[in-house]
Amino acid sequence: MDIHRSRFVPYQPSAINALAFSHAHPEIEGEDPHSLRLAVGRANGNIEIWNPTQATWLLEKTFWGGKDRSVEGLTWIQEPGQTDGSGVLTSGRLRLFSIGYSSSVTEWDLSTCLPLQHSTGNHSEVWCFAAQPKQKLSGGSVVGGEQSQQNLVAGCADGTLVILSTADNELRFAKFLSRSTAKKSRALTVAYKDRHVVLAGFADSTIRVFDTRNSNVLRSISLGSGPHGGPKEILVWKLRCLPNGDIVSGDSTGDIRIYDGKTFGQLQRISGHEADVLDLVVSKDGTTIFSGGLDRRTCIYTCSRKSGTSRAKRNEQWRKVSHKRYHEHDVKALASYEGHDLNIVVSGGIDTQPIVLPLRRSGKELSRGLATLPRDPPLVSAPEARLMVSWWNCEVRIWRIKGQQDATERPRVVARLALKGEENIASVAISRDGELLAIATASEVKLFQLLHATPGLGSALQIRKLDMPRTNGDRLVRFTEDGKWLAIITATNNVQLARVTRPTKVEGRPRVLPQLLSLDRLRRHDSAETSPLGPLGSYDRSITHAAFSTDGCIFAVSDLGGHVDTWVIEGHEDPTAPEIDIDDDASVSMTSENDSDDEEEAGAKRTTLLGQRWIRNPNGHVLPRLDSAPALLSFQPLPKGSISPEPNGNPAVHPTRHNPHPHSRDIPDTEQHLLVVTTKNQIYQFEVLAGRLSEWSKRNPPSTYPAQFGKLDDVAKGCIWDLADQHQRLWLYGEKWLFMFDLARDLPLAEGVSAAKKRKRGSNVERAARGHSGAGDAVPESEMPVTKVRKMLRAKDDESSKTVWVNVHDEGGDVGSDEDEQDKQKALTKLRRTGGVGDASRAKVDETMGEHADTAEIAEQKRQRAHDGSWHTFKYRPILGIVPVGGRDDALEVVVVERPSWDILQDLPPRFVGSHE
Amino acid sequence: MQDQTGESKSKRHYGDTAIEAVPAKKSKSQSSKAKGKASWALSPPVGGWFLPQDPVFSVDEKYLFQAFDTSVCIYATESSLLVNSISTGSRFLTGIALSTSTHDHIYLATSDGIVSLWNWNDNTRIARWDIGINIHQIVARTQPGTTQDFVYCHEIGKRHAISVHALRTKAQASPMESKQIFKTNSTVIGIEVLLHGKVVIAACRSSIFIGKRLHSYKTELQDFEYVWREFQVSNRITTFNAYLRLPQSSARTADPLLEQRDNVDLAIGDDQGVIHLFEDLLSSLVRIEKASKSKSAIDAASDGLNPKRLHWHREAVGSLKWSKDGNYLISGGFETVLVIWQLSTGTQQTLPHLTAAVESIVVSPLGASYAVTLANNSIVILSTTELQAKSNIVGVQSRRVDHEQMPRESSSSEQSFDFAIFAHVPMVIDPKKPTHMLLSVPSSQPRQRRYKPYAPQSYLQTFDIATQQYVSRQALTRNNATDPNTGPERTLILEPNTKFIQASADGEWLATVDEWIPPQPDMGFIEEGVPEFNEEERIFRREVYLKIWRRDEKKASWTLQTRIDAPHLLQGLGISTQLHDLVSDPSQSRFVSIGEDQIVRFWKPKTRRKDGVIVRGADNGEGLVNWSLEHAATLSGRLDILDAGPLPQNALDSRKSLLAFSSDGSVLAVAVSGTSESDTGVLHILDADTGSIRRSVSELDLNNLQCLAIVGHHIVVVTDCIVLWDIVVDELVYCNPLAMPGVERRGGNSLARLVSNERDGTFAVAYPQFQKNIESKSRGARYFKKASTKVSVYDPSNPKPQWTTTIPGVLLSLIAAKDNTGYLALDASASIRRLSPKTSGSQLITPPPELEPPIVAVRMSKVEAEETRDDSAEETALSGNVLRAFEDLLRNAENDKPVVRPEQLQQIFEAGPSHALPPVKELLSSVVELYARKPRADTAA
Repeated sequence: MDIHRSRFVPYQPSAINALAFSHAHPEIEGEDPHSLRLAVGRANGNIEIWNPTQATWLLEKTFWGGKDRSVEGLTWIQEPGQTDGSGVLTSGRLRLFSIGYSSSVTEWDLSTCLPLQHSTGNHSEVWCFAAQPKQKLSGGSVVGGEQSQQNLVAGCADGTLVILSTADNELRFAKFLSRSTAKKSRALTVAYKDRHVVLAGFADSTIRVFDTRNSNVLRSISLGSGPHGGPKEILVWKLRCLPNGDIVSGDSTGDIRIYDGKTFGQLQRISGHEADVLDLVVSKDGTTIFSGGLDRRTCIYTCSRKSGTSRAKRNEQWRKVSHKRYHEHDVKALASYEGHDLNIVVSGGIDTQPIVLPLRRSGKELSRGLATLPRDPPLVSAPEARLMVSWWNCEVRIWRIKGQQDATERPRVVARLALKGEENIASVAISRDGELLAIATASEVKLFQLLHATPGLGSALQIRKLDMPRTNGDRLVRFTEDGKWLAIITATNNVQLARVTRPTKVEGRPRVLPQLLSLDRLRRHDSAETSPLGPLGSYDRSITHAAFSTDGCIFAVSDLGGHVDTWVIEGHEDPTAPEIDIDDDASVSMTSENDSDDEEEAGAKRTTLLGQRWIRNPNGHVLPRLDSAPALLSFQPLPKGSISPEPNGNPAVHPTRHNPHPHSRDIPDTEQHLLVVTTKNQIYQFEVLAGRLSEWSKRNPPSTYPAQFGKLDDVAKGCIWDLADQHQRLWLYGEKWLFMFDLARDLPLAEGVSAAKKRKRGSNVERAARGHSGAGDAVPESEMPVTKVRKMLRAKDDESSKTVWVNVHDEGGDVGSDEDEQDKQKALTKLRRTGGVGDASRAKVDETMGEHADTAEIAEQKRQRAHDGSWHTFKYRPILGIVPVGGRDDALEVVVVERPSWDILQDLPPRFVGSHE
Repeated sequence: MQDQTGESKSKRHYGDTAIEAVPAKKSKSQSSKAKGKASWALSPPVGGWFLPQDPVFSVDEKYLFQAFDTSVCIYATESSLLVNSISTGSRFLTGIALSTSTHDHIYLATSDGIVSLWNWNDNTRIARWDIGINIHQIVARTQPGTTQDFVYCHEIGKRHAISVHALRTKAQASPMESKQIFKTNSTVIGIEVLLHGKVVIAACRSSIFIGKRLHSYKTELQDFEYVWREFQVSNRITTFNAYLRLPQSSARTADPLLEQRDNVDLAIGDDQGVIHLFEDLLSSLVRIEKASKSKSAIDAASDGLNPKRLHWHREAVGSLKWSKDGNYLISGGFETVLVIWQLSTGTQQTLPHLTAAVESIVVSPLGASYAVTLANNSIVILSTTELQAKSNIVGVQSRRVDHEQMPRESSSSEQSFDFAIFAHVPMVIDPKKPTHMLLSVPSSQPRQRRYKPYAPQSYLQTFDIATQQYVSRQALTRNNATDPNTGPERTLILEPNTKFIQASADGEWLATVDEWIPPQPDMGFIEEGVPEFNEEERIFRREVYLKIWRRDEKKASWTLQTRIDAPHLLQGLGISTQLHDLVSDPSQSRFVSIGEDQIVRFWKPKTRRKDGVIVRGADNGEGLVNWSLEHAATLSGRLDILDAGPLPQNALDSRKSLLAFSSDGSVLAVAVSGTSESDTGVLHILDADTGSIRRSVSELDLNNLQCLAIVGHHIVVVTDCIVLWDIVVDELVYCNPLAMPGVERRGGNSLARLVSNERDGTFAVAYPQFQKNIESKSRGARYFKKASTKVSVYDPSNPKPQWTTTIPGVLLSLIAAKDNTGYLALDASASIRRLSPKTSGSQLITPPPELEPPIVAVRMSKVEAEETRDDSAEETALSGNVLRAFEDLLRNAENDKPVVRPEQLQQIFEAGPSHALPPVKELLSSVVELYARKPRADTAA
């Protein structure tokens, strides 16, 4: 395998501006809500929905933003829950709102990823907003109507505060809470103290307290003038309320201040930052505050008050515990969730990486950085044409990759496309020969023809736009390898297929047949409880992945709920058949053998395009539902020569009088293997037509996976197939890893057994080391300030004979540390043997084109690969994507695109420099 | 004599080691008299480095106690003057503690296990007990419910232990008891006792022990039972301090001793510069214990052990203290910055540019001031409110060689031992003020961080050995007093090192030589892989300056007059070579230097003229003076540098040369060492006026040349033996071998010191001896050799020394006293001793006796005071009656003697020439006025 290791793709992730958890804490004690989600708002207008449960931190959805759009604030509200007849409380529907640089508040449709509605109102730009706290449920009696509604309060640039009502699933202007002040100082932050008292921080160094019932100003708190030498006014960037009613503010002097909730007098002022505090988070019990600021610090403060004791104000002292720089740039947003398993603070900022910190166990566990790069690689390639396509925001770039033999030539940008619309690009597909390029945005799909350079015109591509039938809000596009079929997944999760005719002549234009085929998915009923949309939501049915088989005969999609739907093509291509043949009364001519399958199609028009139509895979319904969402769908390419030959003679069927809309009932009979990797990094291989697990998958359950594979904490992003030399090699990669599995052979069983045993016992180990809060691993003992504690009653002469050390951070379960050590040793020797990690530091990569792994290493790798069925490396990180280039008959050649964080940081604005640097 | 020495024996703990009531003073004065047969005498040491222990404030904050090696000095905090000192004789002091029950009593612990109790007001010893074990730290706390002390000792025997002793004097008529409360195998770095011993904290390198007393209502010593809790930390602890937060409600007369809950806040400074702050530590430890017992999650309970983290220091935290109210933490370290942490707001206030690393911080008992001990052997007392320096106590700041830097016992490391650490400290006596010593001192000598081989000496300190006070300090070279002292790579920025100081005969001029060479790590950027080349390049960048300073009486300092860059420049190579020696002409203002280039250069002042008219300075009418080269004498034996090959410095280094003037300034002796057996070096005798060589003596073996001096018509050379050469008869007088055990014979180690004193025509030779350390009790000490120095005083006429003595430690400098016969010796602990013939009295130079003999302004220990009185009694013109009346007066004012400065007396007695003095009666009344004036209000309080 030839590897081009490259860093030339200037993919720029976008800064995090806002973070919001759908729940602050669980509704029912001891159990995290299934519908817990984290919304991440980015500077390019994208909103991402992360699922933090199961410790996988799955990026489930992205709401695509657009040009000059930015998400400046996010908040969730939850509709009141309902109690059904048996007294079981179902949680209410979640609604997500965002603000940008405009005067409106936007509500988003969680299932379609499209804006649902915008608020109205005659006020200036909204700078901040907050949701009213939920009504406390008192004794099961549900208070309906106005009382249970969560209003929104928005603070505007001219200082006005607006109450927006969310009743009746709408978003309406309700009233002004305060008119703009004379100085028109911006409202920078608003917070609800309780259901009827709103706090607002302004840019004129005041905090004002309002009663929402009568719009009175209860109190105006002044922060005084700014520090000497700086600006006079203090900006109150953030306000939060402690559970006991006290108020915390973070301001532009870098101080946090704590005010009495009753008298509104300042209790304490703690300086923790060297520059502005931009966000604050308080813990549920009110003993911990986190703050993040412009100086990259995240500070932690604790209160000396023990939780539970009565509020003895005089002894209560807040102290700063520590600060740390988790981020490379300004920390702009913090969000916290305190639940049963998860107990975390998430912080984000300009350096685009969300960092998960432990909340209750802060100081005992490490932080965890989530992926910066998108989970679905924004990279596709046309291997035959040696083209690679990457995209971000509204821009697409196409590179031509030269082969290794003329590696002296750098990859060159051969085309650059900037979409005219405002929408960000959701997905891009290119046909294998590189002629057709499809770009999906939230509004439409655009299709382009790439005309390859004619000699003498340089290497640049000519681009010609092709007409496409209009679709509505699209999420994914996929081409079959021959480019004849284009699959479009719309925002409403409809699967549509477009047929592209491709004349063989050079001057002929490809044309899209105006009629799209709509494919229906099986209806499933078992996914309601985990939906953030409440009982009726269809969130789980959102399609996240789609794939065509290599011969273009099978199409598969998967959704968040773990369902896989497959369709097969029926009939053979018949250029002589009518392009569009609509059979209106297909239900009449339904044959008996597949009527059960086609039941739902009954009544619908059956459309045949050029003699072919798509039907649901007859055995599709037996494919099991996976226990977690698929992270990857891919068909294993068929071995060479196994593609079934065209039927002899003319495959076409011709209309007769009795059968005006004839079609062949032939469906592909070559068994195809569909590979599904779930977000728990479990690999399943299905025989699609038979609807069952493949032999390999049966023989190699997850327990046989290599130990390192089980330890990976980020999800697979993509895969590459290498079928040369009788191998069936699967190269699977995530952001930080690259694993190879040879599906032609089994994973070593002996090791597998021991690994399984190890995991069983080792799950304890892993838990102990992993930490509990959902953030990073436990802090190693050597870095803890206090390690162990013991008590000695001074016995007369023998010291410490009876004393027992208490390990402060031990969970109690005894950990076989030496075995663990052995385990590590084993891994280490293995790593050494394969020369994986060790090379990472040494490997020098020039910016453009990769190097050949030196021959010795390759030989070593080969030997290693021959030895057991898997191999891995952590050498490449972070991987933006890996795509194949080169013709089908050549040896596999791939481009590994890395996007190191220092490259990303180079393009950011200068950061605050503290006095210590 | 009011000694009340407890003679009762302890019940069982002390066994046979009987406690003797030794009238210490008498025996001491007798023993010193017993030495009277010897013709020479050695004075007790003056100066010296502070012990690495926190200074102690007296309860009223008027006095500060600082422990030295063998004495405790008591300074007045108002005036920073030395008020009193308590000497332990030859025993080494290890700890001091102020009694909490009687505020004018102080406990002293010495290394041989003896604790003595002194009244520091009248300097009397009250009692003395033999504990019999090496005591490292001592804390006195009042026994609960009584007015007597319990003494907590950190003892080092086979293991580290803490014991409580009830030391009782006879008058107290209660039995002595002791009880060990704690023992551990790890090294305890410090102990702290809170609230009458209710809580005792001991810190080790990586763990903290907290002992809480059980049954706090029982106050007998045998009922002292402690529950110890230990917790381990991951970084090395360098300093710690605890604060006992009394509950707010304790105002309502509740005894804090009976309070069940102890709110102990502990702050720990570690070697990474982080301060960990544990609040309410005891209860969190208890919570963890409960949790572990009940098998519930320790996790939640251990929240309290999650300390606050205060990180400002980049290097290890040097010292750390709580403020009296517990709202602030005060810390300091290598950064020369005092950091004040306001805990409630998280802000920190800094006081930068303290000139040296902070070694210890003490908060005064009333909280009004901080005493900050700096690494340049000084204490600054700052007011807590304005952070203004109230007083500054400075000791002799010269180079210190710690015990750990001595050569080791094991043979393997001996080879690599660098004796350069014992290099000569430049020191002269101010010719105009014979009690002022001028010595070059480093800016800072922190104990935590050592320089290699020693800290560069970039300052000039003037120290008055009579009053034991520092006079002034000024920079001689560029320095980092107000600059960051570390480079971007966190390597230290080194200052130039002053190698020589000489004063001209009239005292108007001072010549210094400083040298700087870029440190090895900084030369990395031109590294080409050839170490020799790199070294050559480094030497090429050497900077050598000869600086001539002029006395400035008004500012009481020296002002730079002339700077001569590269005084011995190798012209062909452009290398500034090192100076080997610099001497001052005793007959005129002239300095003579010799360098690696083996050229003797004579430097002379010249009044600047312009067209024959003297150029006068703006400030005073005197002519401007430039110093310039008068002439140079090239020695015949020198190597031809240009032909010496590519690496000339190798050839240069091997030769060493020294200079010496005869007392009349007519003869200059130049000794050039040899390089090999065949080439044994030359001794040139030059005409000092012309610089021409009169005689070259090549008969002597000068291969290991160490010192050179001229006494009368003899030239003394110290190599491996003491060689005496008679100039007049031109022959070798004698050659006495010199034995320096523990020093391997290698060139370049000038460990011997030689100085001649023309007044009595003697010369003194000092040479160190390194021996196996036998008697040391502490565990760490026995790996290091014990150093002592043998000093012999010779008369040129006699090959046998007149007198020989042994001084502990290594002498770094030996000079002749200017006013009198005798010598002054500076050792590696920066203490100064005087060697003087018996006839002139054995004490150190005291203020001139005619001033006011009976009352020594600076109260010496009583022994000395008595002797002074004897000596000067006859000389006093005052009648016996007057004297008696005077003493009566004094007795009344025994406890609060007013401090009378010599200058005040001088004003009375030296108002005019003797014939113009007022009548004796008037003189007397004015003297009485001085001494009988009302004691200052503060003393009365």
